[in-house]
Amino acid sequence: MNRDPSALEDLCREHTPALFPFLLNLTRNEADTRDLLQELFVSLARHPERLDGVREPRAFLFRSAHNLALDHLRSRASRSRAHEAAGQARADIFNLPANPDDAAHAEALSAALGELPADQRAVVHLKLWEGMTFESIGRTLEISPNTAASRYRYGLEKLRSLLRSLYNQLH
Amino acid sequence: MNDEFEQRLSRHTLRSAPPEVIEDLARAIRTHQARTELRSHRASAGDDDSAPVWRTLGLLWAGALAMLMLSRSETDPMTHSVPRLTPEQAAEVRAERMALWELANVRESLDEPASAQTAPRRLLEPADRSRMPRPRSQLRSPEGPILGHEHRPPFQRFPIESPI
Repeated sequence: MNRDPSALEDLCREHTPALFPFLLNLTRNEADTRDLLQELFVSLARHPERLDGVREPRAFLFRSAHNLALDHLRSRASRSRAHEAAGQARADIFNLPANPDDAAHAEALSAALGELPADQRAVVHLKLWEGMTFESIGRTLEISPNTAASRYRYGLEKLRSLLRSLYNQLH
Repeated sequence: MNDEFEQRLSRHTLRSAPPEVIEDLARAIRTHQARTELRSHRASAGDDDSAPVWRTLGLLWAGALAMLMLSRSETDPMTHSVPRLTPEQAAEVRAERMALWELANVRESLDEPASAQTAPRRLLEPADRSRMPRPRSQLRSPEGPILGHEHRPPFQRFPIESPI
């Protein structure tokens, strides 16, 4: 990565559309997501040397965002669990389709994702909606590909059990 | 994506970041880059400007230290330098001291009584009074005399046989 001042802004414009729902899925709160994005890019603006030697800016940004989100979740858990529960109810991760059935399914999926542990949620998100391989997820989250695969499997099983009744009603 | 369930999940499109969020971030990045650049510029400029200031402060500090040491050497009697005497002056002083010493000795010998000239002027007391020599009459234990020349075994005279 070069240290051109405009390079960071270009990175922000390119990757924030994907980082926003990723962080929203982890934090389940839009205001916290905005704060974390601000923290991430302001930190890089203050310390541009952190981008030196970065080969995959997208993976680097997802990793940084993931770490920030985990720190935030830990501190938030220690502050107030009631606040977290209130935030989870309002997280709209998906675009709501015009079709009411699809909208209901999107909302149910968003709520079911909130039931997953944060580490499983991150892997499921990167696999299903970012199209990453387990190797790529492992590099991004600094875990082994096997760990990424097992977290994905557990997460998917839980989603399946949570959404089974809805699927049976719709189809 | 292996099964239908995964495909159905992945079909949902993620909500993208609102445009104002991206614009806010871009503005924050520009602001902080400008601040960082200004701070580094000030820091580098500050380094150049501060050199004469530090030099002046150093000189002031050295001057103050020198004045302090000078004032102390003037007021402290221990640091007075000893006046140097010429050999002639030293000989005069020495002769004067010798004359005074002799005069004092002569006067002292004239003032003393004749009996005191032979006896020691003052008996030195031992440091520990409990170990002072006791009178001979007290040198007896309750059981009987243990000390004193009167309790020595009497001198026995043996007849000397004359070889004649």
